[in-house]
Amino acid sequence: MDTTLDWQELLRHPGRHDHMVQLYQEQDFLVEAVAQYLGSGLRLGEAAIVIARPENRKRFAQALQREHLYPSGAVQMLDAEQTLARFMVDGMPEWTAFHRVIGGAIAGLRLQYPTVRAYGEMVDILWQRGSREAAIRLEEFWNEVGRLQTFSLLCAYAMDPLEAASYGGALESVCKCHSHLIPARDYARFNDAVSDASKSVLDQPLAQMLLELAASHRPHTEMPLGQAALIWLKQNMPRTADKVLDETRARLASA
Amino acid sequence: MEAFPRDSLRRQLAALGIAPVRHRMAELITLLPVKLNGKPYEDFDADIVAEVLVYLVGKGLIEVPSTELSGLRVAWGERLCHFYRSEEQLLGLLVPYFRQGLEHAERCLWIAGSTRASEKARQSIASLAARQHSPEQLEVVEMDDWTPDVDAWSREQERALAQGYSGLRLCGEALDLSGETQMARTKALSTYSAQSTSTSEIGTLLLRHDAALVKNIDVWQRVPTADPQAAATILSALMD
Repeated sequence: MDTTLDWQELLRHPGRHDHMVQLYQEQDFLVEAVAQYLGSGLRLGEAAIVIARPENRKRFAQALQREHLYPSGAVQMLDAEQTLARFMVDGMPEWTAFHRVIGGAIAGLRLQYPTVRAYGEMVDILWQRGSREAAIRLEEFWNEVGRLQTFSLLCAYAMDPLEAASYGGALESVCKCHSHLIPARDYARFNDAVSDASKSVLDQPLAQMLLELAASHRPHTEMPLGQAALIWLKQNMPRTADKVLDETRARLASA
Repeated sequence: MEAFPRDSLRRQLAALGIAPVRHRMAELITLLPVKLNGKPYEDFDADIVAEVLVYLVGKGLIEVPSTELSGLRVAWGERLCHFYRSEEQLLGLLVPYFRQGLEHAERCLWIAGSTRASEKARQSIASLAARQHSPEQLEVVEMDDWTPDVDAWSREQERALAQGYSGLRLCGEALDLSGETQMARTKALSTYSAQSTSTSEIGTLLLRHDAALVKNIDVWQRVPTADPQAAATILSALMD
């Protein structure tokens, strides 16, 4: 049984040091998730810090406004590009400046509020630019700040978990930095599609055995079983994984 | 036309000990540790079958399957186990297991489960030694008549060596050898009735052994237990 929390529940009640990542292709899914995450915290009297692109800040603000949660002194909105510029040196994030800018902003909010929920797109900006080493370093800096201060963090990457090119290093690197991975809107449907696709490609007995092996070798990052199985398959049987990915995509598209 | 995996996978299969003559799709599929009940093998992708085998053998989750038990290595000091569903299945292992021991000048000892092994089975094993013209080399003992003390196994091993054999080849129903440390010249096989062993018990029993032997249609597979969870998963697929 997949005991992974569904993403809505996870975002409503994150752990005090959770560092979650959402993969998305549809803006609506991103806005829904961020509004869920920030809105739940604001209703509990927590603070929020959003470091995002201008168009997304506008979308998040509108979603929070509809819930009468914004404007509010508990919400701090920062521009992702401008914030990045304050601590990037020679294409890489610099710890002291990062700690001063980000750690300072969170510490400031924590003086007034019991805890803080942070949402950030800076890593995605670096990632989309191809600066993957810088993106992963920045994720590590976020984790380092997370060890020094109490806050939860949600990141978002515009990445397709059913695209073969997302694997073989990219998705695995992203996973290593996060406590939870949210790959899809409907976990049950996603898991069923992966399971059915595996059975179609491998036949039921072999698929069942491999999915059980995958489940027993799950990464430490919490994620739906179907996503863990895809990562495991891609690492260990890449050609098989590509067929399962194609079949999973076809099943999700036709459902 | 016979299907084969791509060359890069064939090289990996060969490097793992699966000879090129076994790379035909029809044969490769028999090496998978599952019972493929429905799908005809022609419907499988040869690359996928090869890739699964490369993973399972390469990670040491199974050893290269063999049609002959003699193809499966049994080393001194090893403790193997086998879960059987019928006496026919049990004899399907015991006959070649003991024949191998007789051919290698090992003293053979079967502690037969009193309620499980029939007279026919006892005679079938005992006759192996007679055919080898060395009836004293193989001993069949009733479980009820066997009262092992602390040193019983090491004493049996010493006895085998003193008699000039290369060591002791042992088999018994539900043997518990987990506390034994003096078994350097013993090969041990514990057999269990699958019907009276639950899935969770199988997981626990695997921990006491180095590997499990399972026959899948005509192919013997040896499933090492270094990763007990993976071993239990593979065994379960084979025994379904």
